[in-house]
Amino acid sequence: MKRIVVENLSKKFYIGSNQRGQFLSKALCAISGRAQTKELWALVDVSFSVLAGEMIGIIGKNGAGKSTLLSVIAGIYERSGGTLTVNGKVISVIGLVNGLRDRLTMRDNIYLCCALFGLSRRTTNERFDSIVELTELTEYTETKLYQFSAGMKARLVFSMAIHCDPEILLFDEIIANLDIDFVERGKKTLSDLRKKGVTILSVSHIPSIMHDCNRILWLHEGRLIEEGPSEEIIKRYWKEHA
Amino acid sequence: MKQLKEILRLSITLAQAEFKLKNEGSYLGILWYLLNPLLMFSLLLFIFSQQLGKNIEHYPLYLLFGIILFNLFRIVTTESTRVIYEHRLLIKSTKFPIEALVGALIFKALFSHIFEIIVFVFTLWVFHIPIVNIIFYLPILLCLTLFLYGFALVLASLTIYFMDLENIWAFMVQVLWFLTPIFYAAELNSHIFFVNLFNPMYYFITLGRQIIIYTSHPSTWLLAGMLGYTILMLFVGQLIFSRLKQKFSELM
Repeated sequence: MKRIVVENLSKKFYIGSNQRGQFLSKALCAISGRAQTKELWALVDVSFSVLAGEMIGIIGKNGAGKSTLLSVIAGIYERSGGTLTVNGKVISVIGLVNGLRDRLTMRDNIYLCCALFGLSRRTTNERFDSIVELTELTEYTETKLYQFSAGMKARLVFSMAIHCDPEILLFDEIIANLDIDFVERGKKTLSDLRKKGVTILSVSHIPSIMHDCNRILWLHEGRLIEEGPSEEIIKRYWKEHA
Repeated sequence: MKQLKEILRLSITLAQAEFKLKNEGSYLGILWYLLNPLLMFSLLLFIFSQQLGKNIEHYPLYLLFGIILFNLFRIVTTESTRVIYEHRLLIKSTKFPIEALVGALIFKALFSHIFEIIVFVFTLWVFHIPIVNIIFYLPILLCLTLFLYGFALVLASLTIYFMDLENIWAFMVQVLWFLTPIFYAAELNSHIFFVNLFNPMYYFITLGRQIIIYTSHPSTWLLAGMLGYTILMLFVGQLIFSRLKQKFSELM
């Protein structure tokens, strides 16, 4: 079963944009004839498909369009062209570490994020202990998040995401903040999820994660320049960027 | 229907979180919510009771009810101009019904409104007016909540496109405060009365006073105005928000 089908997907942004501007600056631009915006194609004709249970890695330099691709699949950004078919419940944690409420406790953040991921309060109650257990932060449930390190927050986000019945999981560099021990345990958890048919798309540069992927998508300036088995693509990628 | 339930559920969770954040480290807690309208009430009562309120029956109740309702309107609408931008990190990281942010704003404001209404009921009792009349406030509050939800959706979405709206609206609320008969009465056929026919808050406040304070039957035209503005604003709010929300994550 195909979970994600992407055909000629394109995404255009307007940079130097005055779209979210003030009346006065907009008026001045209009009077002076100065262009308010410049087009930037973050994704250009990207095509691929992902099966249920597959894990796909996305690599590329900064600004290659990796996060934009995940955001479009998640439905956070509208696509500018092409077609996108998504079959299943998407849980995206694209920079969610920054979206957590630092002034709230870990417990409150769990209830809040699980609600955002579509879980009812009763189900969150049932899964609460399991979420905390996976983070290995059981003694910090009543601690406010501003006292957490980036790694602790990443653990929390990771644990919440996999407990919210995802069918498609989208990770953006979250694993980069996790320590080696947790990454190993996380890999085991992801492997179990894949066996249940969960599809995973992960932006990462950590070799051990990338090696576990079925395929790697290599993006460059918004274009999909390589797609293939992880070993092969990673070797070529590192060779080019050595 | 399923989506509405989802928005409602998420709104309540977000409101609980916001409420905890707002009261973090506060010793007086909910008393702060009452302080502002009560101070305003005391001040206006002191200044106007002998002049503007001279010919208004039960002027303290008349004034307090106006202040409480307008306070709800002011809080919801001014905060709605900031609510989307303040949650931009969340909006950019995961997909969820963004309307719930506006819903949470309404729930949070309604929570403090309940305490203001309790104070108002106490004042009714002091003035020997049947406090059972407050039951008739429930349908008015329901309409007001739906109206505010629609209004807040409009302001929340437009502010993302026009940042100035936040400041413009803060000024507009001040203008509306003086325009709405809160501490004075708008005589029928006066200039201020005709202007207020275009002011939705006039219908909610006047209808509420008519039923609760003066225990009279509601005027049909006031009822029609209230329902009309509620349905119109709910429709316009949903329409504008659903059209504009797709671009929010790109504009912040």
